[in-house]
Amino acid sequence: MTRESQKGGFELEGASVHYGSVIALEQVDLKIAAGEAVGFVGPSGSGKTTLLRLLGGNLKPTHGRVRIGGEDLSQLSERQLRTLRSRIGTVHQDLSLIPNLRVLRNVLAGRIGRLSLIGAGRLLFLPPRREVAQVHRLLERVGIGDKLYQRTDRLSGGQRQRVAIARALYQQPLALLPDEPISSLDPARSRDTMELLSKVCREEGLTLCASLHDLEAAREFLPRLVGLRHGRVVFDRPTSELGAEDFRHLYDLSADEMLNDAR
Amino acid sequence: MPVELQTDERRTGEKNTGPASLPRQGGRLLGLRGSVIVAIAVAGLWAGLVLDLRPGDLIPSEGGLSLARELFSHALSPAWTYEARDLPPGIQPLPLKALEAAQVTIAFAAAAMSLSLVLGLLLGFAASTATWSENPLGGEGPLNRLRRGARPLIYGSARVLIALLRSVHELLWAVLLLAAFGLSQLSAIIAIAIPYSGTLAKVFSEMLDEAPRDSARALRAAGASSAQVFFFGLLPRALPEMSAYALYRFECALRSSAVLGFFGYPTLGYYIAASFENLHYGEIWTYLYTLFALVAVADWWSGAMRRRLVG
Repeated sequence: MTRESQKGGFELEGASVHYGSVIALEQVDLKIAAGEAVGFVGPSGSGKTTLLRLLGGNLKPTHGRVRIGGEDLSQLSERQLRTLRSRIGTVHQDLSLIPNLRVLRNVLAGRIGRLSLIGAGRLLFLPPRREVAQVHRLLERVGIGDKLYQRTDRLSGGQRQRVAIARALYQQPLALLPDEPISSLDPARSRDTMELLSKVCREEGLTLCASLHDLEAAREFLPRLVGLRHGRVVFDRPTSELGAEDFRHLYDLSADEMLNDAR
Repeated sequence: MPVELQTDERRTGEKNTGPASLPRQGGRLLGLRGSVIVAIAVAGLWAGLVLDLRPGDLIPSEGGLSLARELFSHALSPAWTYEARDLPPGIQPLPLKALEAAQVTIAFAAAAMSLSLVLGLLLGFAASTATWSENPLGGEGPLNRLRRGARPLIYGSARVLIALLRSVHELLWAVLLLAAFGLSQLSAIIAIAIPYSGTLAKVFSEMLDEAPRDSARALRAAGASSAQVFFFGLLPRALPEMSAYALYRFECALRSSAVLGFFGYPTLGYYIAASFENLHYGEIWTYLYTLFALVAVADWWSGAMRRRLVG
């Protein structure tokens, strides 16, 4: 495999993340090839978001090894990490857009990671026509081309979701990491969003790693699922091989956990 | 905040022993709220005793009463022409004079605000913890270590400087600067700008600290540097609030600039004081109404702007 072709791939070896005494991820082994589409499923607090933060290069593992595009996370300098992050399109659960700015500027902000401070200011406030046209194309692609000059806080939740996806795509990423992309959308919009995400990633050859608690959507749109519970991988198989029993086990609350939740 | 509480409990590992046990309340006689109310009441009584306050002092003397009567009887008839007899030749009409004083008042306020905005922004950035918030992955190498070492130094000195600037009122600064530089326009502007920079810096730094960090985090995840995260992720979230506050401070600066007229600067305060000394009651009201109108217009304008910025 050439170096270029593994760029969008991920590899975790015994990776653990501890926040103080809280264990968010424990001994995770995972291999995701470039261009693959994978879903992370599991109950709240199972470590899905932490795993995505790890894959996005936003976190270093407490123990173990994380390779992103063949590069070992712990060996990278701050500058190299920034370059790495600029090629990974993270879509946060709360979208993290700037509400009082126009859609155009929110999308443009996606690429400032590869620019200097001055260059970023110039791109955001005096964008060249070529970049505006590119943002417009991306917005058309996600279905909100007419919102280019709208203030972001005037948009609906579904439209904002699309702005966040367009911002991630404007990064020209090698991988897309949406965290619970459909948790706040109604069923029809959830389907649209999942279709959009998998279509874009397929067409551009991007790796897609999405965390989802909607099992039905996960099974319909993602060919491989990783089940997480208490920060550990419970299963990691093609979706077609997973049965109802696997999912019941994933979400089954033991008596001990119920007590914990009630507390 | 129930969410906070829960994580707290989880961290300390505290457990309720059974269904019957109620959450324990603080065992003190007075709660925090009760102690604050009692403290305020005690402070009020103490101040009254120290100052030897007597309600009877509010009954005015005969002379004072007639002066007040004279002044307020002119409230509905402000002067349109000068009340003085021997006017210098070529003097402009009174309404124009009042408008000119208003213009000078605005000019002083605008100059002082421009100066304090620059200083207030710089100090506000330096005194905000958000500016210095740690990169989650941390940088290594000598340059980063040096930068990390300088952080508490810059942050601390900015905090101290802000406290110093704020602790002295603009009138006291005016007295000091007048003594040092004489009656120059610049000393009045600097007198207003010093405490205003301090207040702006303090409030700006708090607004930056309270601004939502979500977009900052998103930019960091997209590879932005710390400076980029601050300027393009954090600052835009705080900017509407900061602009609205700056507009409000401009209103305050108008009043401060009017009051500095008492020291001889040709703002509205100067003419009010002069008319009062000459017992030209009608003219006092002319200038006072001009000041009211000025503040009212500024209030309406900044209110409209604020609604557009924040709303």
